[in-house]
Amino acid sequence: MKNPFRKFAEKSKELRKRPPSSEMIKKISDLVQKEQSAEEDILKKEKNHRRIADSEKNPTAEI
Amino acid sequence: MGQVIPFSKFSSYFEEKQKSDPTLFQGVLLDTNILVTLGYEFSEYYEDIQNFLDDEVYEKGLEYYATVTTKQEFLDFMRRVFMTEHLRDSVDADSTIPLFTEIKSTVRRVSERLRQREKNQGSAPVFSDSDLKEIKQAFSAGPHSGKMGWLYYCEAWLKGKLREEEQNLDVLGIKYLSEKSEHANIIDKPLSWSNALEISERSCLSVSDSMILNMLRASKITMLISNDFDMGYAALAMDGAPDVIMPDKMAAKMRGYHF
Repeated sequence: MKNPFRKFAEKSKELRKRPPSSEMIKKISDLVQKEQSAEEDILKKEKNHRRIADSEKNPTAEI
Repeated sequence: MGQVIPFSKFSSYFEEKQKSDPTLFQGVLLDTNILVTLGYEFSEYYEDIQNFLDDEVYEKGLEYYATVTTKQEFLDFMRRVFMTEHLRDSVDADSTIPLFTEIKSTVRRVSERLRQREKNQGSAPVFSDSDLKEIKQAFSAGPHSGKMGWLYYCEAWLKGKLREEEQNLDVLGIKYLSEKSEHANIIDKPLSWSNALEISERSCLSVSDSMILNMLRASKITMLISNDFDMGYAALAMDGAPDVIMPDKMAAKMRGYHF
């Protein structure tokens, strides 16, 4: 009889190294992209708010 | 008191044991660390254990037993292995799966801490649960990174794998011992919780390991295969303990202990 634990280690390793499905990679890529553009929008809005607030404080600054 | 038997002496030990007790139960109990070592080749004892199983246990036709706690602990360990390896890979430049920038820096920080533990304490390269918690918390800390991210990564890296690992374990023919299992007839003495706690109190053995020794004491099985120093120590220090069969290097560490 052959020791089945040799195969056990191989199968376990195969499971560890198995990459995620392309469907999951896409799902995650979409999420990361969506979140990053949402974050960029927020940064843009904040920059804009700051610019308006600065120009209200000092209305002649941009003339 | 139990004895600690190095792998290299098992053959003669077993022969003697069988001579003095012809009805000796033909089975061994596997400790969790043995399953972990066999499923995850990081340990320095990996080859020793595989060879021992090949040359001794299989050769003699001994049956394998484990407690249900052992299975649970093994799967829990593999859960951490899967997440650690994928998280560490995901911060590499050539990773196929993107990761939020803030999360990347958390993974790198936790990973560096793990590297230090590997270097200084010889720890396995596996995140602890508190490491994983720190990374998980980073997913919901930002205004947009959001908790969904963590769930998606779990789906990508973990979903279905624990079930498959369990099936991988099931084909090994290990018999799981519990009072309700089909192998309950192996347990021939009452299993008592207070006995398990006494075993733990005797040498500060973890309660989960004490449950394994307690199960052995209540069953017909007289031999435990383990590569855990604590388990060998507890067996040497305990009346009516089973014998612990260990890799030679680990057994050598027990030589000086006589109780």
